[in-house]
Amino acid sequence: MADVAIVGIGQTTYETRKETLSLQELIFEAASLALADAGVRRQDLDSVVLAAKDLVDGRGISNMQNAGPAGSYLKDEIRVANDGLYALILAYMQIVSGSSNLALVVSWSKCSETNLDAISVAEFEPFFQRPVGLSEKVALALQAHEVLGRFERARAAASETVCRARAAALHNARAHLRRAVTRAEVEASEPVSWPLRQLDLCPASDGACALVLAARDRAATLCPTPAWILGVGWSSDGYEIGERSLSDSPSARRAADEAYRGASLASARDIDVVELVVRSSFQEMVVLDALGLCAAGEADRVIVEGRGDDGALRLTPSGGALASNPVSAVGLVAAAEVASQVMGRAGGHQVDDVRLGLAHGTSGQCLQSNGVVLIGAER
Amino acid sequence: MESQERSTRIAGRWDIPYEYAAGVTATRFFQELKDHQRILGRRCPECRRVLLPPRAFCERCFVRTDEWVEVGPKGYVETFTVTYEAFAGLRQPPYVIGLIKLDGASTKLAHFVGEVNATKPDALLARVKDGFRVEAVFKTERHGSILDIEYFRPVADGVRA
Amino acid sequence: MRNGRRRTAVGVVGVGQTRYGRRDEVSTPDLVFEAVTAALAHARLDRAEIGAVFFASAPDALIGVNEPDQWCAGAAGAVGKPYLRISTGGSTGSSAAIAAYYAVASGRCEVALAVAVERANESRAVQLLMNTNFDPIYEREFAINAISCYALATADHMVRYGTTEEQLAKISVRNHRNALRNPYAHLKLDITVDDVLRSRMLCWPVKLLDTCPRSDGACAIVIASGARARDLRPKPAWVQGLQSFSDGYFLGDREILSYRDHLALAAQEAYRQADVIDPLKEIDVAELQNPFTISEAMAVEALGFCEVGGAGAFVDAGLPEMAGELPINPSGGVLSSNPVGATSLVRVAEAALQVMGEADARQVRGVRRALAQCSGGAIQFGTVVILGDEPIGG
Repeated sequence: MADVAIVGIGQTTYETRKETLSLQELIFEAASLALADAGVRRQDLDSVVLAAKDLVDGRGISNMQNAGPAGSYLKDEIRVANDGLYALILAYMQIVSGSSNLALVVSWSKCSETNLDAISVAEFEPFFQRPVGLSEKVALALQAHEVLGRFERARAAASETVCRARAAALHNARAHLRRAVTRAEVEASEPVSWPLRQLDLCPASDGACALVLAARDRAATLCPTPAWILGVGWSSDGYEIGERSLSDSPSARRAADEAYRGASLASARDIDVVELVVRSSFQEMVVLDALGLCAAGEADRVIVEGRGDDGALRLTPSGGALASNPVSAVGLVAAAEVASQVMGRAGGHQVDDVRLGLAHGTSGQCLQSNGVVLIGAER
Repeated sequence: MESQERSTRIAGRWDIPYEYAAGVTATRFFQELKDHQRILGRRCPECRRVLLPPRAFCERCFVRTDEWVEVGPKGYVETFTVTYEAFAGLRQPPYVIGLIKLDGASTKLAHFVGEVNATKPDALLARVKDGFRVEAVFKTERHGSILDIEYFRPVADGVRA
Repeated sequence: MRNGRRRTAVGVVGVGQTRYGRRDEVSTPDLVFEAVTAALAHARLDRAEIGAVFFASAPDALIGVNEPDQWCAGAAGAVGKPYLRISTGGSTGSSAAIAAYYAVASGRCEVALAVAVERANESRAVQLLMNTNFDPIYEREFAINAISCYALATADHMVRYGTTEEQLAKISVRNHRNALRNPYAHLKLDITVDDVLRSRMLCWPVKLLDTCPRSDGACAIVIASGARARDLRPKPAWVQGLQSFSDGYFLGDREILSYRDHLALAAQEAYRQADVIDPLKEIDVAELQNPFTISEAMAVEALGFCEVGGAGAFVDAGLPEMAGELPINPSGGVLSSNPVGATSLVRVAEAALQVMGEADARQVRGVRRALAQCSGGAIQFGTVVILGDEPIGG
């Protein structure tokens, strides 16, 4: 029996530059939307859990300035510095531990205010990695190289991943990039770092997302059809990209196993919709495989053909990070999208008959750390 | 016996540019400073506080603010400090920073206090106790920033705290 | 506020600290490893038994590596485990302890580890980067930094309550003297009130000896649930109360620039959870996060150890001395050692050691209940953790 449900969702649109809003105003918008959606006031909250990164925000200890717009005035507020899905996981544990009845989880990015490439360089340690020019794009390219070695049809699968994401985004009114692309276009786009091309990478999007979480009894009074959190798992691999296989993600495997166990899931086939976070097109097959969402070693084929053995692949109907990338918030967006699907509120990109969905998020370079949250219609 | 092993240091520098979006509210505030030397606060429709610096929403009531209210240009320094230490990358000392309650505002504005003797903070403290009345001094060349106000200077206008 | 669940008993079963100060001979991951292995050894646990790891450091620019948690994953013992990073400024370390508490109290795991690290000595522009904590739209140009912010609070306290620089100096004298008995402490100074008053003026009225050093260092604690905690240690430091609150950001929004509101509310809630009615009598020792002498003064008021405005009299009466009614900071406090991202976890760790009876030369006699108070942001975040020799709940 589930202890925690999502009872309110707020997302802003995702755009290149939200020029008329300051960062605080952007956060306020998402937080207000979620509170209104749940039918609760800020005063009703017991806690606020944030996910944000100082460097992306351009403010040291960014939750100093951003806690208020996220509803934290004289509230129990805490911030994780990982992807937004991890804030959801912490809030979940906070509620189950009895420390909160009603929590607001908020995450955001205003990438237009900065240069993500410059920031990504800072993510590499200065002794061995920065001097040799490692940046996120270079690391993703190294990973893509390894993926080419593991999956025979990797290049085609990566291109198909992009095409499918961009096609899906046409039906998502909030999505940032709303233009379909072809495989040929992907493979002819500007080279970035071999084998990665421009269209293999995510855009940089301004946007924010917020969810209201409630403890079981509270959820029942607030919402006729909440989206129940049925299973949670998260885990980390080592930091050194030279010390692990980049074409696999053991931490994603462990995260999925833990989540499936928590939800007493008989088989991954019971999952009706999946929102994955990828930082490059080549990551999707790695994640699909690691989450056990297709037969082992078949992820490239499944992506290219658009279907697994048991039917159409209902993968990232929102378009995901390849279409909208508010960098630190993407995992929370994945959860918001899955919750919307489960609640039947995903509008133009609603998938039919969704009872159970999986939201994935990642932190660190090249899938070093992963989180999985299973969200469903039934307790 | 202690090890004689060395540990070296590697230099590093972060060079990360930012262009912070001020939003419509702050932009209007800066425009008023620049064009009209007027200081505007923003009122919350629920708690009725006039927020300075102005904000598009009130974080306590969690609603959008809806009214511009002119405040100051005079007020009281309620708290201050004098910086003597030169901090890398920040302005040359000594300088006085105060929290200033402008007439009509519910919150205090952080800004410089000028035309005072920075070497005698005890004297400044005595003034705060009595009611340290100040007024805004605007720059002749303004660019639309909080520093269009150069500082706040003491003024004797008979208004008691 | 509580959702009616019976609270699981959770206790601190292991503490590890590194020596605080300039640690030129080690890298950041080395420091983390040192603290984690010490905590595991103290808890007599193998890394395999840790169910989740919570990493704390803040702000990023002090360490100079973005996402230092990822870099330190191996050193933190987190490879193969659930791992996340908490970042809430000065209160980051205690926030990581709270996150670890959630993991155990929710039943997600039986044993969790919180580790916090600081490398302040690698930054060449500490106050400049502290300045980036302030709003770029309205405030950053005023060169507000950590020191000027607390200087504003000191001046305010003096105006409002007549607190004197001498009274604040006594806080410094006592903290520094206590550090002489703490092998981990950075500064070990035997000073007088005069020494403090004559020390270099930074931002009036804050002088050099009213404030803290810049220390490298790391701290780790192991938290376990009821049955497991009892297996591991005869005297765990049980979590009896635990609460955080955040205040508004703009310094000028506060009617009074102090710890009232957020910290006082956190204390009230923590006392309620711990069944504490009269803190001065029922708390046997306190570890308060005091990067500035004014921090301690504001904290004792907000925590209800004395009335609002009474911090000066509290100090004059000798109540916080080691032999006093309520010893404060036997460790020497933050005035003696300030590994910024770890400092608040050190408060929890020191409080835990007092309850366990393992604080060596700095042990207060007969401790049954200890309080750790933590702060973060510019007088914005407040946390209270109460540890005791009996669990509340399961």
